[in-house]
Amino acid sequence: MPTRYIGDGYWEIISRQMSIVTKSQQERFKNAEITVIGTGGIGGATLEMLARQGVGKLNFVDKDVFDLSNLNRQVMSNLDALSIDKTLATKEQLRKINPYVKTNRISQEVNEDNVEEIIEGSDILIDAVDNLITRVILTRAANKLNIPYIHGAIHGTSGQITTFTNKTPTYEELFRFPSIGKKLQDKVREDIQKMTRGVPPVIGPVPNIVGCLEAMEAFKLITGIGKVTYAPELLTFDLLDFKSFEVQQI
Amino acid sequence: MAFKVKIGNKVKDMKLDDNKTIKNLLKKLNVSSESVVTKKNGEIVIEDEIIDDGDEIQLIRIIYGG
Repeated sequence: MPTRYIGDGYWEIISRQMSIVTKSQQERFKNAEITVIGTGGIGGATLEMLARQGVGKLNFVDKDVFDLSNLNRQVMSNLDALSIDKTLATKEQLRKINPYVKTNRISQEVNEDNVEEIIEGSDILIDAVDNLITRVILTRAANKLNIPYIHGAIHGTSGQITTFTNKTPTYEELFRFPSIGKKLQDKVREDIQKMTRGVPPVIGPVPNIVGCLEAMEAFKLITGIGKVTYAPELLTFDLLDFKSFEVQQI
Repeated sequence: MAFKVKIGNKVKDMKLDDNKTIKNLLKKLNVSSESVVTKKNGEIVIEDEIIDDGDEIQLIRIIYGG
């Protein structure tokens, strides 16, 4: 570790990544505010990584409490956290991981009425939710407020990730949603619901990989290093076969 | 008539004896048209698209877990 970082807690925590970014690039990340919607399988991992990478402020939103069925994948869950508000348990975990990160927990469901208030002022919005309608709400608000939206989703052993901005196709356009250009009234919500089939299966490594990748895309976006994958390109993978990792154009 | 179908990273050869449309292919695969984006030879197509001999059909599943 470079000795110049010893004794300065924040910089000592992230000292091992300081040959990957310059101090001014890391300063940008230290000043960044990122909002993560969902603190479960994907969200827990992305929040942990963002904290370890030294982000400035994290807002995170979830309406649920942890239960036994979360333990196979959700890194913020453990036996002590069962029946505990997910955002509360997550806040405590993040404090123990990197106390220099400011945290703002929001224990409610994101909807059309509160989404803009929740994400306004964020440098990046990260999708870690478990349904399509909330994703449509998020992507519309992010587009309106000109906030980059990092999308990730999983099904079984498969995962995908890409980033949307005002310069890319929208989430709804990329996946040919029936809701494009329409208000989210009951009929439109029903049409979106028809795109789904129940609660998807999931196994531990899959959402955690997606969450880690989202955190790295956020780091790249803020610091300017590397190349971010934007829509219509999409990284897809199936952990049953490593040869499946592929950036494809939709 | 034979064509290739790619779902995820799996590719298989398929045949349709009659009604050679994407709609019929999805029905045969028991996949709802709303849950996938369908490409034929790299271009996104609608359900009524006709499948020809040698075409490559790709089904991109819309996934939503988190």
